[in-house]
Parts: sequence; structure tokens; C-alpha cells
Amino acid sequence: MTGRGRPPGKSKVQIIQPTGELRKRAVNYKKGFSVELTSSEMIQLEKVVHQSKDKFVVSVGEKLKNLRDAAHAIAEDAMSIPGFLRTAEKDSLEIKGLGGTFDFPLLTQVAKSLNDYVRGLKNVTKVHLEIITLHVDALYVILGQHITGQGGATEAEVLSALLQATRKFG
Amino acid sequence: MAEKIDFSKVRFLIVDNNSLSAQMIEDILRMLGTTSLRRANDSTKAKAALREGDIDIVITERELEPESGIQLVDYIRHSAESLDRLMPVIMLTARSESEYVTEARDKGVTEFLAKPFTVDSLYRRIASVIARPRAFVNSPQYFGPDRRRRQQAYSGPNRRS
Repeated sequence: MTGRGRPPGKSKVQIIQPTGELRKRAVNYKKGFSVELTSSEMIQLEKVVHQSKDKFVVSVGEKLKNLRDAAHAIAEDAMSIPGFLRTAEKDSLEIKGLGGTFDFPLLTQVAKSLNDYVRGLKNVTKVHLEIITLHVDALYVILGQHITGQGGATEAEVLSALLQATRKFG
Repeated sequence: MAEKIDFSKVRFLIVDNNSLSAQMIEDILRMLGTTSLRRANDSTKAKAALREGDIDIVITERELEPESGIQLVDYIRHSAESLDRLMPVIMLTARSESEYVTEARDKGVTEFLAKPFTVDSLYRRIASVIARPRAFVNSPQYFGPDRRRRQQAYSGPNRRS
């Protein structure tokens, strides 16, 4: 830097320009997918996601069963509170992260509500467990009834009620 | 004529402990034409793969065991074992709150993508690191891609009129 800034030669910041080696190797005008995807290329890629949808439903179903089993276990003192919270946080985060990709944004929103809730918990009382179970039930319904998109007015009310419960009993 | 990316020339490492997510990313990359692709479901295996070399781009989840995706980025950018400290890293995570985005950016992540993601958003980030590589900044406080993303034209009054 020169002029009114730092004296010349005193700068400790080094800018390393990209070599562009990967670009030189892969970017061309003949073969491959366009840098800016065309609509037909996009359709091709979206098909890949669509083909994984069944696996997604099975995977979320397994996580929800895992969550429900954990909720039963902690209700019967067969699981530690930290262990339960870890399970609930991990599974809800994974459901949150996948739902929207497979056109289940409502699933993502309910899982987010659950994840935010359990992240803030240090203990699990009966009320906490009820709220967690309500979230799991709602996730089951969304998945089981295949509620894609945002759902309707009822689904919006359910989500709103869950969010209110987490605020009130957090 | 529009620029294209020949994905058969690009080698990927996918690091994700969620098999469905990792498989979907792999399927997308295969559809794009990728032939060289490795997967790791934890940070230890990811580091081993990186030490073996022949990887151009890392796509990693943030939530990993035993070390996080952030620590994996730190390994790539700062470890003496790292074969390519300038390697593009795309971080995917369901933790999309701003503090996680800032943390990832400050640790040297090249591109950040919140889950759930769309195919389009994933593709744009991959295409960006290949077709529009960024300069790196090496300073006492930071080593990673230049965090200044916007090139905004100056619109104020003339300094000398």
C-alpha cells in the first residue's frame, strides 16, 4: 500500500492471486454443463433429487422412530437427559437440513422449531417432553400424509402453536 | 458461446456423516459427469483422504465427528500436512444462523450453503469455485479466500472536481 496508508513495504497482508489451474483444466466451450445452468440441464439435475425422495421418506421415518423411542426411554428413566438431548438435537437438525430439498419445507420448519427448542434445554421435565413429543407427532403426520409445500391453514396453525409452546415453556 | 464445465476433470471429496445427504450430492456430481469422487463420513477419514491427494474440491458438512467441519477447514488452511492450502471448500450445514456463517467465512470456507439446499444453489457454488476462483488473503489474523465479494462502483462525489 502506498500514499496516505501504511508506509511502503510495511504491509503484512499478502494477496495471493488464484492460479486458475482448475479453471484451465475444466472450463471449455464444448463439453459439460454450462457455467450458468440452462433449464434443460436444471431439469436433469432435479431428477436426481426426485429419484432420492423414497430414500428420504424412509430415512426421516427411521429418525422419527428413533426420536419416539428415545422419548419413551427418558420417560421411563431408561436414558440419560444429556443422551436424550443429543439424540433429539442431532436427529431434528438432520431432518431440518433435508426436508426443503425434497419439497417438504413444512417438515424443515417443524424440525427447526424442535431443534431450536432442544438446543436451549438443560433439563427435560414432563412439559418439555410433551412439547418434544408434539413436534415428533407433527413431523410424523407431515411425512405420513405427504404434506409437501407449506401445507394449508391447519398446518400453519399447528406450526404457530408449536412455536408458541416452545416460547412459553422453554 | 457459453462456457461449460467438464466435470470429468474435477476431483471431489464429499464429507458428510448423513448417508442420504452424501449419496444425493454424489448422485448430482455423477450426473454432472464427475468420475473422480471420494466420500468420508468423519473428519479422520477426510483428513486421510486429503493426505492421499488428488482432490480439487471439498464439499463438507459442518457437523462432523470427531472434529467439526470447521476444524477440517482449519486443517486444510493451516496444517503443515495439508497438500493444498488454497483448496476450495464448500460447507453445507443445517445451522444457517448468521453466527455460523460468519464463523465459517472467518475460518476460510470458500462457499457456504445452508441446508436444505436446492440443486441450483449447490451447482452455482460448485461452478463458482471452478470458473471464478478467488484470490487468497494471507495475513497474521486470517488465511483464506478474499472475503470481499462485492465489487461496487464508487458512487459518491468526485474527490477532485
